[in-house]
Order: sequence, then structure tokens, then C-alpha cells
Amino acid sequence: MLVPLHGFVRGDTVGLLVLVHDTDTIARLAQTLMAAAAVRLAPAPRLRVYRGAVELDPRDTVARAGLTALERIDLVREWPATTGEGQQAARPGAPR
Amino acid sequence: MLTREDWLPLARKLDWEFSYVSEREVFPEAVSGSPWLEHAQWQAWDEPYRTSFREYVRVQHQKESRLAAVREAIGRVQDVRKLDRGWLSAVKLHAATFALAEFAAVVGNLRAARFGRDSAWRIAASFGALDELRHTQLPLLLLHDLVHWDVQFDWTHKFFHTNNWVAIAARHLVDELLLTADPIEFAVATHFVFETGFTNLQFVGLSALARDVGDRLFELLLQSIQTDEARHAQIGNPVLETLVRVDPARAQHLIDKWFWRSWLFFAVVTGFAMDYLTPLQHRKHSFKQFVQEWILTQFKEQLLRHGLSLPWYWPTFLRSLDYYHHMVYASAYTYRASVWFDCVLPGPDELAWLAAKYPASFAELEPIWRRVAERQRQAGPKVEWYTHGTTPVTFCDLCQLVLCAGTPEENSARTLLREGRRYVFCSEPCQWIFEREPERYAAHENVVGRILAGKAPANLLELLRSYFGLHQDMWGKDAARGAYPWLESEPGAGSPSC
Repeated sequence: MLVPLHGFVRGDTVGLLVLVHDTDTIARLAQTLMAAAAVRLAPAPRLRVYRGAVELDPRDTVARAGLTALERIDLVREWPATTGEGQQAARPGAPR
Repeated sequence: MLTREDWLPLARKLDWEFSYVSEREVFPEAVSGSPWLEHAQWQAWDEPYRTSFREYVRVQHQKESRLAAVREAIGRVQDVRKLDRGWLSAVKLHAATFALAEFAAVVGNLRAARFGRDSAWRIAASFGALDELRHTQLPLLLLHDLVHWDVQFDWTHKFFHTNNWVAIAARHLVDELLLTADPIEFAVATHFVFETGFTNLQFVGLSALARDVGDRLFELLLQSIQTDEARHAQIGNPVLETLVRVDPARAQHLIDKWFWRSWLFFAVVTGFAMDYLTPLQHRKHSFKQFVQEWILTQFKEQLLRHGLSLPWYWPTFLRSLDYYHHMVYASAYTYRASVWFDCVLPGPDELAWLAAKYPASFAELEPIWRRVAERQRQAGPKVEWYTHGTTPVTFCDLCQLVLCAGTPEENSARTLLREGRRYVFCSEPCQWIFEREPERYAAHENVVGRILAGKAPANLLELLRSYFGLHQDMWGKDAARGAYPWLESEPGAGSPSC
């Protein structure tokens, strides 16, 4: 089943409509959302997905994570502390 | 023969007591507005212009003659084609969003011309309706006429008849503000907030920019409209004065609601023009500086003079001055085929100007422009798709605009589950407006809702063509088609790390 979600990538300017299957993993959801924002934002080696204050396990499926239609999810890009957009690296906790 | 001073006060204040129907029947609350008050409560209503019909016609004729003369002298295609392409995009944006919105304002004024509660109010509203008719006709005459040269000017008339996402947002605003509001809400929302509070951004700020870029025709168009607006905007003050006296909570609610809605509209329409589409060499002040001068100072004083408070979300508004229109513009640039005007990619000089004008926020926005610029450099001139998004964006269930509020680091969008449907709002004020009157807004579907319901295509290209009313000749492109000298000469403009 397709699940439409409101996706927000930290550092981006606009919310994106992401369509994923409920069998997709959170990791795949992260890649889909990152690709959608790639025109404005560079991809990062590590992507974290949050639902509210809770980070979702990248191995979980969309269904197992309990995501339902039109929920908000947030994507945080992370770089190793010494490279790239390091200001977003090693960010503990949930999206602000 | 009676002098003007003898007959005009009598003619303007020609109210009488009804003998065979009640006042409530003549002015039903559902149409005349709440709170319903007997005429005695309104009879002190007055405005400073006190124009007679004869005076109105004479002055309007003079304005028309002046504009016609200027059009004859400098309004031809060969004059317009000399103007900067970015600036012309600002003109197209304004022409589309204002021309038929002014026509909707005719309806709002005519309702007040019949159901306003004092004769002087009704007379002023009659002139207001005539004004707005003129404000519809002028851009259609002066700007839609340019469609022979540039098909994007077709949107001067076409815009409100399409399902383009900006048009859906504009209709959502205009339908409520101008077509359905009762005369009391109309007076407060349109005359006091929208016209008194915000339109000086257009008629003074943008008009000055038009002069600087050499667009004399657009300058005069704005100034000519402004002289009408200055008069009929005066309807707002005496209505608000009475409302504050009898129902201050409703007065404050209307201010809070319409200030936010008006702000979002002007941030997009005027913010784009002032900070991105006006050529850099002609910019003196930023959009934020114009807002600070015309809204933060003047409108704030008026609010306080009426004994009202600043809207409860004032800190949010102040913060959005640094972010909102920048976030919408960056999003619009990367979805420019979804609009009917071209967008300018800001180069190093523009980014430096923006960083100087917006020191609190631009460090968060600049990496996005560097990323887009780098992709444009890689793609080369005339390639649009590499700097264009393909995934549909999402829209607010109140303002219907893209979810671009807050900051890049913390988008302020929020969702609300209500009666089995999940709504999304760009900001806390939009959610607050929705929740105060859910019966008014709940049934409306934003673009995403229409896509998911199968009413609009999910494929972006198909959405643009068959739903937004655009085709390749007219949809927005990069204003320079990606051929910026700075992209060739300054490789550092786009950092690989972005």
C-alpha cells in the first residue's frame, strides 16, 4: 500500500510529498526524501529519520514504524565531524 | 443655489427610519455583519475624503487621461522589451495576482454599498466599487495587451481561472476576503489591514522601484491606483472604531486573522519582486526594510491608536521577515515551471547583498543557492531540468501556499487530525485561523489532497500541463536561461560541498 508523507529535510526550504510503500524500509524512505530534495541540498553519508522527537530505526518498514498517511517526518543529514557540512554532524536528539 | 458645504453633508448622511419593515429586515445580520447594531450606533460614521460623485468623476477622468497619455508615449512593446527580464517577471507576478482580485473587490465594495450600516459608508463603498473596477481594467488594458509579445502576460487575465497552485492559494484568500466577507469584516480585513496595512508596500515601495528600473508605465499604474486606495481605505477606520467600542474581542480576532493572511500574500508577491526580481543595481532597500517602515512603524501605530494589541503571533511574524519569502522563493525557483513568470538565480553579488540585508538568516539560505548554482554550472545554459525539482511539494490547508514557514533548520509545519482527516499547516497562525472557524475551511482540498483524491495528476509534468494550465512556452524558466556570466567566471560560486 502506498503511504503519502509530508517530508522535511533539515536545511531545506519546503515540505515534500513523499510516496512510499508500507513495505519500504525507513532507510529507503530516507533515500527517497533525500533524492527529492537533492536539487537544493547535497546528500550526506548518513541520514536519520524522525517522527516527532523519535528517531526511526532505518531497518524498520514504514508499516512497522506505524507511519500513516500524511504524517510529518523529518530527515536529518549527517557528515563525519571533520568533513562537509559538519555543522549538521553529530546531532543528538530529535529535530528542533 | 446651494453651495457644496450646504448640500453634501445632507446627501452623504441620508438615512431614515423605516416604517413598513424593520431595520433588521433591511439590514439582516447575516449579510450586514456582526455584531448587529441599530443605526444610532453607526450614525457618527465618517471618513475624511467626503467626495461627491461629480468630484469623483472629474478626478478619475484626469487620472485616466494622464495614464492614456503615458501609455501612448511609452507603453508599446518596443518600450517594454527594453526592461530587465527579472523586473518583467515581477510585473507579470503582480499583474496576474492583482487584476481579477480587484474585480472580486468590486463585489465586496458593492455589498457594503448596499448593506453598510450608514449612508456615508455606503456612498464611500460605491466609489470603492468603481475604483476596483478601474483597478481591474487598468492592468488588463496595459499589461494583458502585451500578450502579443510575451505569452506569459496572458496570465494577467488567465490566472484566477486556472488551478495553478498560486491561483488556488489566491482564490482561497480572495474568495473569503472579498467575495464572502460581510461589510464589517470586509472593512476591517480589506480596508484596514490589507489596504492600509500592506498596499503601501506596493504603491509606494514597488512604485519607487519601478521608477528606478525605468518602468514608467508600471510606476504610474501603481500610483494611479494608490490614489484611489488611499481614499477608500479610509472606510476601515470608522468601522473598526465602532467594532472596538462594542466588541473588542471580535475586532482583535479579525486583525489577527487578516494580518497573517495578508502578510503571507504580500511576502510572496512583493517579497519576490523587491529582493530577487529587481535588478541589483536598482535595489536600495530590502523587502524587510520596506515592511519595517510601512508596517512595523505605521500600521502598528494605527493598531495601538484603536486600543488594539499587536497580533498574538507578533514574534513569529518578526522572525518570518528574515525567512519566509526567501524560503518560498528558493522553492519557487526550483519549481519554476509551476508558475507563469521567470525566476532569477541570485549570483555572488546578489547573495552578498542579501547576506548584508538579512544577517540573521541568510547563512542558512546561502548553501541552497550555492548548490543550485553548482548544478546550473554543471548543466550549462538552456538546461532547466537539472535545477528543477520533480517531486510534488506540499501545501498548507489554510493559506494553500507551500510549506515554507519557519526556518530551513526548523520548518514550522504541523499536522492536525480532525474528524478522521489529517490537515497540515505551514505555521501556528495558519492552524489557529483554521481552528477558530473549521466549518469555513475544513472541506477545502489543497493540491496534495486533490492529487491523492485522483482529481489532479500526480505526475508533475502532467500536473503542470493539464491542471495548472501551463505549457512549455509559458511556464517559468530561469530568467537568463542559465547563462550567467558569473557562473562561467567564478567557479567558487557553487561549492561542491553544498
